[in-house]
Amino acid sequence: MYRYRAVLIKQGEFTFLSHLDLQRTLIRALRRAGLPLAYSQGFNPQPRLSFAAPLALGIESDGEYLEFELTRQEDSEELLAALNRQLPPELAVRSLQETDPRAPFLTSLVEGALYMAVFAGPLTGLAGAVQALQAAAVLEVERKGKNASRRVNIRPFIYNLCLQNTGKEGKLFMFLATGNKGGARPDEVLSLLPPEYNLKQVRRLAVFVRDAAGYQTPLGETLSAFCGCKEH
Amino acid sequence: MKDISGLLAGVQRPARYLGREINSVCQDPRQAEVHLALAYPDLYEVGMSHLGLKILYELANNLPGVYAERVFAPAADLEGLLRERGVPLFSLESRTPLHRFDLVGFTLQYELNYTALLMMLDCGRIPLYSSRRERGHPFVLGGGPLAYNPEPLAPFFDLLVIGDGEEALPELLDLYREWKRKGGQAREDFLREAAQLPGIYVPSLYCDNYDGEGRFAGVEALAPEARLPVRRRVLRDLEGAVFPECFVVPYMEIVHDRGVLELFRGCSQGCRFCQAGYVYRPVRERSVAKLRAQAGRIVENTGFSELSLSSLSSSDYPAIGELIGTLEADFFGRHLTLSLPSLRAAASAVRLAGSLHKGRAAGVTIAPEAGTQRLRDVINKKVTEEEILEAAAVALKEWQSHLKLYFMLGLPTETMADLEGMVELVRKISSLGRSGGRKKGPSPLNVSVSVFVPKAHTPFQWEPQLEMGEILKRQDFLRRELRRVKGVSFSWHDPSMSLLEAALARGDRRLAPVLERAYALGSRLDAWGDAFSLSRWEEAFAGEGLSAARYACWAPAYTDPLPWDHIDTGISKDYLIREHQRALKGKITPDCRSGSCAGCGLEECPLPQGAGEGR
Repeated sequence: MYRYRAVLIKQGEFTFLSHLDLQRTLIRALRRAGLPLAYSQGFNPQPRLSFAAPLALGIESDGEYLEFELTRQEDSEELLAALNRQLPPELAVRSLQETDPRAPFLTSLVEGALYMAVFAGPLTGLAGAVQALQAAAVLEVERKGKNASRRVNIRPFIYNLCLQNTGKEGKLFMFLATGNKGGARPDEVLSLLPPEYNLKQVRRLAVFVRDAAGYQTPLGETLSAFCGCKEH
Repeated sequence: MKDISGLLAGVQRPARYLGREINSVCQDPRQAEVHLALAYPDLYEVGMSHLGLKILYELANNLPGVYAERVFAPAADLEGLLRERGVPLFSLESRTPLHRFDLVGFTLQYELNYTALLMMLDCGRIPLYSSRRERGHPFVLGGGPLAYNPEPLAPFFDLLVIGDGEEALPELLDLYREWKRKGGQAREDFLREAAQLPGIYVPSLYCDNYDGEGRFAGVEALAPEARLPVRRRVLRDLEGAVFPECFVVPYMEIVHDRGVLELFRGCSQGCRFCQAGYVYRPVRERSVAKLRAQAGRIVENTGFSELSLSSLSSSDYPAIGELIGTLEADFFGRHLTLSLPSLRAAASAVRLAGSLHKGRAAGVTIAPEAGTQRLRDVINKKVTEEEILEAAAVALKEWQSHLKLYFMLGLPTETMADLEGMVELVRKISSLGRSGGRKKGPSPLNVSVSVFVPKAHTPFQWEPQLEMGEILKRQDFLRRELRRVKGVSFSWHDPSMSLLEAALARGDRRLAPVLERAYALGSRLDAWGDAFSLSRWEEAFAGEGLSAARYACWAPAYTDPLPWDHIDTGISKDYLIREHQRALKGKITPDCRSGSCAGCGLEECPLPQGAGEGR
């Protein structure tokens, strides 16, 4: 078994594909490329392919991390090129490397995701509003369930917020918890800010796992590589 | 191409409207001489599952100068947004508004899609009635099984294609191109020329007549160009016919999310309730070699993990064992599941289907249709109780599979004894039980009962649908009795939907304004039960002084003119009458493939003809 880790972008209208749509798309892309995808054992074999963390619809991303296994070893560069021939440019694979097949799947390791919200000016008071969020002990949002909605405190899931304000444009970096221990969505955090600011776009920059050295992306990049904020 | 993010952000399942799938055909529509929209009046996930549409897409896009795009019905949320923002319904590929196409062709598969069709025209800014369309509007075409009784929709269509689209569509598009080259002035000129092509029905060149008591009195041709009757087009050579090998690969999960092989077209069983069994005759097969080559290319071009071996009765394909063996060898180790969607209730067929799943927990469906031998003989469903029990045993015991049984309620001549027989049969099957296996989960046996809908061009076209009160009584009986059988779940079709299906399936042209009213009252995607309201439809019928129940329960005499008499499927009316009479006497008619010809009169049939009196 040979495991590969790839980073995809997700842009434009393709942000409206769901997590499962994306998974199906990648499985079919690999199959069309004639690459021997590995399958699980058992009654109902499933392809060994998964994305590290789902992304809400409508949000662009520079870092969707994908893992899959092949039954044959392939050259990473050729594999990347073969996949990109089968995918629309908005879902391009931007890097790919072979990894240890005995390691646990990323899905179970991912703990954080870094988002960037871009605001167009005027930005008067935004810094104060962000600080107020950081200072709050409890931040409740409404979450819709299948039948009823409930109030959830998302404060514990906000690791850090930092604002880079150029005067004309404001970039709010949100480092949020994600994964199977719970998390917050960027739109939930943004809903807590006063409504008068002109939000231009939200994108996910990367997802993070944590080890002794702190948070880093599955390809080993640190948070500062993305936002230059002092502390996280 | 326009950015539609603003619309996509406001709707559920935006992938329905995204387009841009692998293998979709993207061209500059301005370069196309003939710009055709292939429309399906239901949601993306349903329309994209339909093989006919894929065939036409392939066919049309390979004709010189033709660019064909897809368009499906918007769900209520997108429809609302389109209206609110003043955006016309657009095609998936180039996002061209529907009214800007040269031609818009609808696939007609199901009666309860009719109001969605009107909604698509309306949202696409095309006048509903052909009589109100002018220069610059597209021509609206229809085709598919429901075109065999086109009358309820007739005033909305400029023309209908009767029979296999592979035959008529290229000729029609050629004719359109010529008309356009000559300046594309009078719509009437194109329609009159089209009417002379075999298999083309131009409703505006015909009128419908009624007697003093409002009974249908026949369709009359109003122009010398109007053929009477309009004869169905029959594709003779399926082997050489166009077949898509580059299926559009959807991003979202669709109803039948897989590749498809068409093993054969037509069916030789002759079940008397089944319209497809008559209007798709004769049986035309593809060779194993051809299917094998197609399978390889489809899987390679799409990456699908499932391939369906499709037809009206796939276990009747003479070389089915050889085909499956070949494909299994070809795709060994490549994680491709083969599926057999329509199975005869025979042990051999179930064994075959089960072997494809390799013991995975997939369900098996068999359709005894009726509970007693007497009634199965009436409908010509040539399967014995012994065969049904044997097939069920294979499914439940050998394959440890869930089993779904399909029955129909309200079949001609049905009595309570037949329903008791159905309960008894279910009881026998449930007692076969499962040897060991899982105890948890849903019950291993599901009984699904739909309501009989008499269809045009079948021997049962002279039969009424069972009256609603009686349907409810019989459904109650089944619910009560089946509840007492252990391990059985019971599901049934909403009888008010079946009533409407029946009214529209044998309706006449007076139903067009009823459809328009139902649409105005808010009826849309009625096929999706949650949106369906019978009272809205009753109001629409009443508004025209008509009654849905009267249409559904109509029992015409053999001598009465029928609203679809001017559509000639090639099957003689005498034969349908003989079949109806044999049904009432409980006499079966053998399978055409068995070598004994019952004389349906179809000229194109390659089987040796004999016995019957023909036409």
